[in-house]
Amino acid sequence: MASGFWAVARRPRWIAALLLCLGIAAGFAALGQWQLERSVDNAQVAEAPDTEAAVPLSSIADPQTAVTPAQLGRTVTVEPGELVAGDFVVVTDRNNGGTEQGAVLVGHLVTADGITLAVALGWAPDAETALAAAGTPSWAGPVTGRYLPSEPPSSSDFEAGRRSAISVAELINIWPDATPAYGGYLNLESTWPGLEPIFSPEPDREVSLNVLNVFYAIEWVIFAGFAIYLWYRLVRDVVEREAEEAAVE
Amino acid sequence: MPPAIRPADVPRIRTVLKVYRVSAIVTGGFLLLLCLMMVFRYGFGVDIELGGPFGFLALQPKELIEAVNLSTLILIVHGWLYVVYLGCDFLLWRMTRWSFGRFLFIALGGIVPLLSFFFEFRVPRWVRERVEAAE
Repeated sequence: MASGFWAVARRPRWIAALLLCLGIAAGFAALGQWQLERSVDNAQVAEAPDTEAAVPLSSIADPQTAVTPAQLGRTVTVEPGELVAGDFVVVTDRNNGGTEQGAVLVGHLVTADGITLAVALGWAPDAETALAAAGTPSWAGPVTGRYLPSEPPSSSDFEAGRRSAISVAELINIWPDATPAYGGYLNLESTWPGLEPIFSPEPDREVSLNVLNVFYAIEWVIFAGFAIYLWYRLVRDVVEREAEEAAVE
Repeated sequence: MPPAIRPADVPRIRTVLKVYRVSAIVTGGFLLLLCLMMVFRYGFGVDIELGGPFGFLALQPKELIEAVNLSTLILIVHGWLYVVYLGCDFLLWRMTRWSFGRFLFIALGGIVPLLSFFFEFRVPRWVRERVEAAE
């Protein structure tokens, strides 16, 4: 007389095997969950701060340090000291959110704390207009703008005698007395007389799922199901073998 | 003595065996590439970049790669090839009715370098033994 499926499955050996398979399946499910968590973790580099609410620059950044992802693109306020009169620099080959290439006037701001901060003051269609707008500002109270990382200067520009990047490191070399300095520069929010305000969009915060990790999570769930199926198959094998042996006898 | 295989399964076994042999070679090849990539990534801290600014193939720290990260690609491709390999292993095990231990042993071919190349010629012999026993 051959045993039925459940008669075989109830044997201690196969109960133990079932527990083992369930354990493996639980392990696989845990790995799947871990992958799922990773798929979200990878998407968010850091807790995204509100980039549009203005905070004092001195409260989020230290001078002489590079711009971190948490500081990047944040709207900040700076207590102005003065713009150094002879230190205006024109940076060319800049578009202002459109396709037209123009020039940006950059000023050397010394904050009330005596720290240098490069400030992109405004945009003009050509370098002459930009340079003509240089002058003493009528700032009362803090200056607001977006804090952006220093741009890498290009060697081809250097060879051609042009300047198309707002590179803090380069500016500090041009300005006679510029230390300590903030590692990033400020895109001035208010309109500078004679110039157009600089196009300064809210930075992109990509929050996308990591599809690869999601696929792996699905794969682990399938593997977990497979572990249970394997147990079922092995028990069936025993049942079938015993049935065949019984038939031979 | 394991139960005999079903005669109706024999043509199917031959088809799966063909797929298995191809997958054993391809998966084994990618496993060797995977070992190479692991040595570079964890030994020297660089990944392989395909078609980047430093030539067709270049070694770069992971963060600096602009073009195709061949190391990660190898990792992913090997993962999916191994799923195909395991699928073939499973089907062969079901139809030839050989032992569960042998199923696990063959499964190791996708993890232990070079082992799948051994299985590529050994598994057909095991299959032949079972088919001959049935005939």
